[in-house]
Amino acid sequence: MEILRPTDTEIWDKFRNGDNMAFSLIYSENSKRLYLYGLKFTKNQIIIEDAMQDLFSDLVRNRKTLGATDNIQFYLLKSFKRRLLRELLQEKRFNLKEKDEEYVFEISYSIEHEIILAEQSDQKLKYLQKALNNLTPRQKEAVYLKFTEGLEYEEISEMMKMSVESCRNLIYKAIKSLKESLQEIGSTTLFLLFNHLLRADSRPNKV
Amino acid sequence: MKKEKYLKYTAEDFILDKAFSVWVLTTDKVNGPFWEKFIREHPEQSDQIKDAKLIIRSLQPIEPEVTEQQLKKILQNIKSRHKTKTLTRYKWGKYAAGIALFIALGGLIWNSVHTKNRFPLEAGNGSSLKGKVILASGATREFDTEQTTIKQSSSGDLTINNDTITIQPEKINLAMNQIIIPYGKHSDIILADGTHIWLNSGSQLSYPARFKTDSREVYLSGEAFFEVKSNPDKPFYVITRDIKIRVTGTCFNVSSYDEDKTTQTVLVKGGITAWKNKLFAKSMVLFPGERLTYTKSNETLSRDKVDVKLYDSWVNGYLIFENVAITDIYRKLERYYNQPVATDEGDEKITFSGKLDLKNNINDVLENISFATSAKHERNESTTLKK
Repeated sequence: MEILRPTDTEIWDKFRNGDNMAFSLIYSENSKRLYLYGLKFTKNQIIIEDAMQDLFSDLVRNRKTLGATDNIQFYLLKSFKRRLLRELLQEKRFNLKEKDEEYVFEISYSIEHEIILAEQSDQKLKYLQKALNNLTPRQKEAVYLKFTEGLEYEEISEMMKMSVESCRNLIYKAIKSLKESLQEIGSTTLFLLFNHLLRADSRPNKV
Repeated sequence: MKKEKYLKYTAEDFILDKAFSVWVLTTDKVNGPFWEKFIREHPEQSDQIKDAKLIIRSLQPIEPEVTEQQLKKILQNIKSRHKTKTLTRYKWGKYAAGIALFIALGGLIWNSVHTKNRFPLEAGNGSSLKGKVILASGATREFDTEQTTIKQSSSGDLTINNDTITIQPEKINLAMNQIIIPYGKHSDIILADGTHIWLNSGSQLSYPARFKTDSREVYLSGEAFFEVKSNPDKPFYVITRDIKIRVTGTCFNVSSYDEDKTTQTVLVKGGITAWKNKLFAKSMVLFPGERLTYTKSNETLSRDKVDVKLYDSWVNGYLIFENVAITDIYRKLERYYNQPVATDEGDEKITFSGKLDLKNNINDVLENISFATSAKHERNESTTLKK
């Protein structure tokens, strides 16, 4: 695919120098992704919209003092998340669990369209769907940032306030669990067989 | 890319390999041949690759709908909040107009940046009866759309019939001209490179007075038919809110009205590549006689074979339909004539096939439809179509 546009650094600099069209471009390219990202944390659209308004209003107001960036998408996602979580916390609608860094990240996956591709058996896809639903919120967020937003490990780790190494591990574990779900048919059969043998073996001792 | 490292890759390794996932999600043209060859030559890796592709695709979430209206509303709030705090009303007026246009076009208008530039709020302002040209200098010129020839010369001059508007040379490089065609009107323009563009009612086209050295880019909202002058060194791009089309030399029709549920591109001859106007977009190649449809509600691209006559006939002053719901036909006629057409319940189930001559007035055209179908129609003379 060809690159048809100026770099993020150029767009951001134009915006900082008071260029309104650059602001329009930044808003039109990023507002939807921020909204969709916000919806993973809360279904309360008012809070999401407030956070977006605050974010962009502050950007416009402080444009002269903003730092440079070569990745606008990442810059916005990061500051949007910070604002959104702060607002959620204030509204006490934020589902805090025991650990401070735990939070909600809900995402719906549907692999129904893969069935149409007919390369995979129904059963295999059911296991995969189950494994997708079983990912932890943090795993979901990390894979979302990697495979939907296309961010790099360094960026994801910064957004999720963890080391690059733990971020790699987090994503690797998620992927591994999905991969294993595809092998589950084989192991279930084995398990059933094993279980059957075991039970046959132990039956005399049970009631 | 080196294939050696991939010989021992597990599905997990493939999934986490950026080059691989980009290929799965985007039909990456650069590395596509590499992966296809690799799969052919290494069938022993096919299970791992199959699993990896499935998992990468399954990780794409089903997204809830976020509408343009919601996003516009937020922008309005940002604007009004800011107005009271730091900027004068006058400054914000300009700012707002720039933003509104931007969303209507939704593309990447970048070179049009010019402090004196003023942008219209909407292309299809129902009150205007004349076409309008807005130059990057901020100057506007209205023109009658009947029998008009608009020509953009390579020196930067714009000619409307015998009326030539000269753009100062130092401004040419930044300049983005816009042509706005109201509802009920249509026009055509020949660009400096010889490309001929027919603009349908309620459409807006922005193009640079002078193209860049390596590409030709125009921005479209509404419907247009393009006859692009071939130049393989300078590909021609049509950018709409939802899709981006790349051309070297070809004839095709693009319909991208904000109020329609889909954006459609039909190729008459030549070849084009199109992709969604967003990150990680897959590209699709279109062959003559094919139609590319972008559905806004679920953001998908699809391709099918169509009769091209059904799509480019408006250029010649008539419309051809084949089993089209008359409600869809009414919408086209409303735009073309800038007259509202009332629909009855159940109209969407009635279909029409045949040819409508657009030189006739709207009553005759509706009469023809009624005659061929069982639909009744009413027209309110006093109101004009609003976007």
